[in-house]
Amino acid sequence: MRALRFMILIVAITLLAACGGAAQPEVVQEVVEREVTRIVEETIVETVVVEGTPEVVEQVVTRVVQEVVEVTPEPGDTSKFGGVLNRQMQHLTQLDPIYIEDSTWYAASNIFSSLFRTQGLENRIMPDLATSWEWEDDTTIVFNLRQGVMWHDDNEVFSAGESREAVADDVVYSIERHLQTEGAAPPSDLQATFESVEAVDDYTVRLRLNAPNALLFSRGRGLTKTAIVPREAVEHYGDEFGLNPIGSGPFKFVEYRPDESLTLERNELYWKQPYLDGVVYHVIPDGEAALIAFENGEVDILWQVPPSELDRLESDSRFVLHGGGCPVQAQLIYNVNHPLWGEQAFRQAVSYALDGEAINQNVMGRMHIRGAGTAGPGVPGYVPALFDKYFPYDPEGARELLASLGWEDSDGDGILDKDGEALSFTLEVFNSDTNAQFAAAIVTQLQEVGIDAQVETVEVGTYVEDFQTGAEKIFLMTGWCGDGGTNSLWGRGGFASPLGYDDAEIFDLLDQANEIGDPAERDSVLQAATEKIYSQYWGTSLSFHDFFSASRSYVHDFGGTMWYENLVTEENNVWLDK
Amino acid sequence: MFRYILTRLLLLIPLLIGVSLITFIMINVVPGDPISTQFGMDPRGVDPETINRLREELGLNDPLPVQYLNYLKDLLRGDMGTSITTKTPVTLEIKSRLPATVQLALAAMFLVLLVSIPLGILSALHRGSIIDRLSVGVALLGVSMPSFWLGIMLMLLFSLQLGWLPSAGRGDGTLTGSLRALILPAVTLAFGLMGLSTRIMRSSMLDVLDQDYMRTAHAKGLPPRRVVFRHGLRNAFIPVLTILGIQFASLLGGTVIIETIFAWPGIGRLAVNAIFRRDYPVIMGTVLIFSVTFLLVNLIVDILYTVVDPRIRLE
Repeated sequence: MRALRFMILIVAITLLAACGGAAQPEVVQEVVEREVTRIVEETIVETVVVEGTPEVVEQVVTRVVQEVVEVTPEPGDTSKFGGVLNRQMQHLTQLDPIYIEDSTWYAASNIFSSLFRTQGLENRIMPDLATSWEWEDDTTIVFNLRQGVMWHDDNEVFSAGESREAVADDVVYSIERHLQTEGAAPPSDLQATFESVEAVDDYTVRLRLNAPNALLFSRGRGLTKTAIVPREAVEHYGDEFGLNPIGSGPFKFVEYRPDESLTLERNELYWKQPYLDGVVYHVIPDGEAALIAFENGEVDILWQVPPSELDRLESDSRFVLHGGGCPVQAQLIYNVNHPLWGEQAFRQAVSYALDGEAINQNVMGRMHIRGAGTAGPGVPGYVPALFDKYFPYDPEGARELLASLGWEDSDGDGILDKDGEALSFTLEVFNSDTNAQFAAAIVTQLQEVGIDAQVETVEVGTYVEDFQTGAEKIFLMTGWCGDGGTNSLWGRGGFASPLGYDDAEIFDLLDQANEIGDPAERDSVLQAATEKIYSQYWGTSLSFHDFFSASRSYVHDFGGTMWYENLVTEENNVWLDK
Repeated sequence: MFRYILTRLLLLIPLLIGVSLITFIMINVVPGDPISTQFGMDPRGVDPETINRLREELGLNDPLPVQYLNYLKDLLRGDMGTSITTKTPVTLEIKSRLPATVQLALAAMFLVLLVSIPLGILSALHRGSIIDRLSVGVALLGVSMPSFWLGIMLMLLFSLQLGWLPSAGRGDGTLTGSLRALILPAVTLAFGLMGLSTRIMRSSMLDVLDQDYMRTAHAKGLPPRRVVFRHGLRNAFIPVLTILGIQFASLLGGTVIIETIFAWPGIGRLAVNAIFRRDYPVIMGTVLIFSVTFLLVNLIVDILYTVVDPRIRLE
């Protein structure tokens, strides 16, 4: 009997625990008729005096809160309102924009407005809270704000229908907060060049810099990490603002369940009516599981397609692939303080010994992009001829270079040696599926020219520590993309500087590039720096790769995600045709 | 018994201080810190001054003894600190994951009890029979089959092919939705645990079946079912209880692989992510919670011994 009771108790506790999670709003997918003007109403109970009598009664009154002008669809347009977009994420953290350092920004970019948004590889800049901007001089820019942008309402700070307009003071507050709050890490270019920001009037903001900043509009840099927040909400929630975000973006925050999901609903007050009823970001960290959930229809957008699944998904009409649009580099980086690795001929020999294109193609499959450098094709500073010029696959040339340094196989064991010492080094990689494949291929090809490389796989924290303390290793570095990366890696005080890289001419070129506003001129200066870096074989390039996300074919007007997840902009409005 | 429980609870204090000290030393011995891990490889560029400022703000530049004493001081005030990554209080981080962990652990233990106890008894009673061989087979499979593989296979079958169950998450908040979401992770988890408990139940039962008092009970003419359940099971259950207690405590510490595959927002994932990000306060907090949980579950198991076998006295 006791055992039975125990069983019943276990069942009851399990059921209770199963109900423990907070209820999600029921997703009702309905097609709403389109209209040119949408009236936002609220129903309130009003106390009125009956005319001619002292009697006071309560009556229900419906009043118009706001009229929202909606997109008038083009003739033949089949776009429709309704539905909830389910999007897979690998992880999500809190949503206070000044502390976001990962892909949580995708979600945040739909809650908060920014001054502008960027789209695609070409980093095309689109209006958001600011509808236009003009440079008064090299260091002063004026943003003209959109009128009638309201903060999200129906929350602890702004009651339903009692929100206020987002104005220039909010922009000033948000930029200053980002730059001054403890624990926040604004982009270095903004930090270094910021001088002041002022509200000229309610709809005009003037930003002054102490030096030109070419990265002000580059994704992940400059102002692209500054979302506009309302002061009263930040003050109201304090440290918990990130758990109760209030913005003025196309979607309002509903619920955040750590490591599980983030639910947003349509912002009825937005200046352009979103077609979607809402968005739910689902945290599914495992790639295989995410793919199953995607194919199963549990999520409509897959964070990242595994390289091996690319062809299959592409050939399936149920899915649409979206290129990430940011070529990710893979290269070997040396500690040049080491007597041997400091020799340019040695680095060149290693570069010749490796068929970077074949290795990258083998690991990345269709995601492979041929090229060399830190900035890939389409990114400022990319030099198209670099790969052919400096990284030919030439094992014989590699052997000759090593021989010129005195390395020969005197004992016939297949490994070169000099003064009784074998040519051997440790190749450090951080743990990831693709890095393991890269490392295996590199070691095999190096062995063919008589270099004995040992792979040491560590997790990211150890890798960064070894890099920053200048450990005597050769590092496989993968994962960077985008504008500014060349400077962050090779610039003065950059990530690679603890490894002994020091060339005033390169540093000066990179510093100079940061201050050139003209894209073509800046590109040519960055190219000059890149050419200098790789002609000295500071790194051994193994090409680039793109990455792909995927959406279900019933998700329309979605252009992929690159820094901003643009679900509703002046140019697009994602809708579902389920 | 009250005195015993009180003593065990008081012992928690020095034990937790010891655990916190060892954890603190270990996380500081491991290369990397939260700031370099977060920003060190950031291509967007966070300048060295900012990195140093962030370290200063977090007290990471203080000598280690000072850092540890500051942590202990805060801990005594009930403050486990704030996550460096999420800027959320650690207590809130843990609190938000505990229900999911407890729910999964209970469901898995329920399945383990439901299958392994009867299967263990049946194999002992029918030693060498098909049931016995079957139970050996199931146990062997459970122990040897990697949970990440089993999880993906179950997902492919029941989510993708049959479309019966969701593949990820905790469901839509409704009772049926939550239960449906619970099935696959709980079965995957339980399958790995069933093997050991079934084998222990079987061998323990076999030992008991050979005891004189069992023969006496049979000789007295008691019905076989009564002999087995009344006299056999209670005596055989003690070792099983010990194993189940350890298994349950481990489950409450989180099951990283299952939580990752099934996107289950449990405490195991929180801890592992914190380790990768060098989020010191979260690492310290989760380890302390694991320790407390482990010790409390063991205490409860000790108390349960007295329920199962009244001859046992806790002193």
